[in-house]
Amino acid sequence: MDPPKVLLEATFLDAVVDPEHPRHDDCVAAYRELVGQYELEQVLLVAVSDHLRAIDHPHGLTTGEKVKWFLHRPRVGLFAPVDPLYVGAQHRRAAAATKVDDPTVALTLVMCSRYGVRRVATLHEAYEAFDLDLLPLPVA
Amino acid sequence: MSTATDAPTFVPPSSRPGLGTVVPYEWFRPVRITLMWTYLVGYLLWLKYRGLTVDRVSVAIAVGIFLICAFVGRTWRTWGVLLVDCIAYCTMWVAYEKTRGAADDGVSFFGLFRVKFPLQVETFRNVDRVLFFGHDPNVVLQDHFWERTVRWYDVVAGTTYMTHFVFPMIVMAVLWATSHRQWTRFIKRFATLLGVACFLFVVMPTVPPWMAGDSDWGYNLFHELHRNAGRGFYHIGFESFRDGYKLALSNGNGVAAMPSLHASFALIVPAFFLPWIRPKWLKAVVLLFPVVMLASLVYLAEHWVIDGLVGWAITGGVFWFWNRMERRGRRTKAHRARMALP
Repeated sequence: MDPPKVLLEATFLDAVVDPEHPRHDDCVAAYRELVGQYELEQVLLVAVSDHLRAIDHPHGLTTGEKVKWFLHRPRVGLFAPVDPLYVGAQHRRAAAATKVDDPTVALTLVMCSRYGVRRVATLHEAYEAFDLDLLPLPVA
Repeated sequence: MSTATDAPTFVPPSSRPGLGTVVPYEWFRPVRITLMWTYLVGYLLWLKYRGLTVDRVSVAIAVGIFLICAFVGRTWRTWGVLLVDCIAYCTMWVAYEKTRGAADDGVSFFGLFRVKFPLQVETFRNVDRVLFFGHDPNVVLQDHFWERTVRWYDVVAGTTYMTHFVFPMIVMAVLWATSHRQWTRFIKRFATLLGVACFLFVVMPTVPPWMAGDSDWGYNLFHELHRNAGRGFYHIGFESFRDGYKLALSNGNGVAAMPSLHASFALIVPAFFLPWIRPKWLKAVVLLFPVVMLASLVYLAEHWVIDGLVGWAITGGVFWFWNRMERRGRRTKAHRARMALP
């Protein structure tokens, strides 16, 4: 019933926010298009909560702010349309039990599996090995 | 990564391994599915041997048990959200019951003074007579169709009438278990509908047709009408429904009749799912349900026709309002994102 979810992976989020990133312009163009699709309710934009929180608050959070963010993420700024997929202890355990070396990739794969996400916007090559629809980005 | 494109499109997966090959299997998933099927079997057995649970408390307990089955093994945060949702859900029903109860007593302002609105005895009956060229639809239907023996249309009318007590709640429970986003969309519309209806119950307490013809009440607008909405339903073997049905009625208020929530609830569910139904003929079939409900309500002397029409109009208005609000919310978030983009 819901529109398909598109997961914005950590590398994609980093590239969108960092103007010095070599793929910044490509990712911004792709994100702009995704936001347009979101506005028309053609897609839902999601991100792993750990990754999104690090982008929302690059300088870290106090415990109180973390709790506040956990309870209700303010929908402002660049990633206002993005819904966090909240990571629970069971997801971390599952990620640790995978045979994937990169913990960020492992956690993202677990979240994709548990939340039924099939589409991923990423710059990380590791995801090409799995049965996911990867968002093609313009070549820089 | 693939070659350049102007707009993002998605690369379909080829023969790459599925996530199941790397991500550990979630063992709680089959547990949840098994529990939900067990619940369904238990519910049907209860329905057969004990009857349909129609009073608010029993329905809430039934929904609660289903949700426990559906949420086993989910994260603590998900349980926390569910708890907040349940509190909001119960608050909504309690507020509804309390407000509906005030339909004939008026509204008390901090115990200082009470505002009581006049009872509408003939207003909506007259509207019906205008709509039907001087005839009373309730009287005409009962005069033509009501018989001492239960006929097939009594079964249809009684069963349709009784779905009101469980149908929207089943939909809510299923949405709760499958998509919190869709549950939120549904409950916003549902709660708004209840709120508007309660407001009208208080400001427009209305004598329903069965009361208008009942000599005990003394209105005598027409001859006495039969009032046994559930008889068709009991006739098909659900005798034990009667107790629950009476209990549900005892919580109600006879003059909380405008608008008809039976008609509104019968429309809100099909209207919610209509965008996902593709074939036009199926849309038409689904939309027959509220029509059958309104015809049943009129035949059973529970409501005037105008009660149902106003109920439908409010339902339509609620959808219009929330569709607009949700579109606006998406636009605002998209605008914020674009403003922050270089």
